Amino acid sequence: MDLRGIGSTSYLSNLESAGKTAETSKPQGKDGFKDALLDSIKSVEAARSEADESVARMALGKGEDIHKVMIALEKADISFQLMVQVRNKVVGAYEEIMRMGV
Amino acid sequence: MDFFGSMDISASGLEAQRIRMNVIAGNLANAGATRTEKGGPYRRKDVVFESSSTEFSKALETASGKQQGSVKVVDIVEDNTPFRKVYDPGHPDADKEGYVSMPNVSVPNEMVNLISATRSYQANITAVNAAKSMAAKALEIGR
Repeated sequence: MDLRGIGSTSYLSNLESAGKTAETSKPQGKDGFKDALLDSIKSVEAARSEADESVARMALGKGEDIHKVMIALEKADISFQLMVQVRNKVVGAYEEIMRMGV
Repeated sequence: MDFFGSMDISASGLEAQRIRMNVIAGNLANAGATRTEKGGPYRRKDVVFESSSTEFSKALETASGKQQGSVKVVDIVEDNTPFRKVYDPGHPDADKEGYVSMPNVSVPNEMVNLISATRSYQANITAVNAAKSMAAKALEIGR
């Protein structure tokens, strides 16, 4: 999983630039809330599919070690928890902005 | 991600200990085998572990994105200590004096190796769990 991927599409940097001047806050198609979420979901998907394949190999008796399966599952678990945290932060920031008085 | 890196290192340790376990199981199973394909009694086998810290493997693993500092089984070698001689004239493999060459496997030694392999395996699993709980703790930052 790439942590930098989440950092580079950071919604915080968007907020920062939006706060400076109205001119610099051009709408950017790439760095929205949606893309930040989608990026983290994609990285979880990679870990999940690896765990999935590992379990399948184990179930089919293709000589997969138990510890490999368990470690793949743990990796998928941690990635998923990280994604949930990212989602919470993104949604939290979004709601915070929506609550702003104009 | 670095937590996954330490998990990969522990996974290589688990793999190595599992291979060692297989070899020890083979030694125990063949403790009484007086015939092998090569002829003569079974020879005790042992594993050789190698840490992947040699210059070439370091460069190779950095290039292939693999984790440094992992361990692997590079070889399974035979123990060249002499065979045990047991007096058993009725045995089909007994020599003229009635002695049978039995494998140089010492069951108590293998039992100790078995415990050692099991404990090393457990140690690696503890390391995996520690890495996992560190990652889980890191996710609690700001909660």
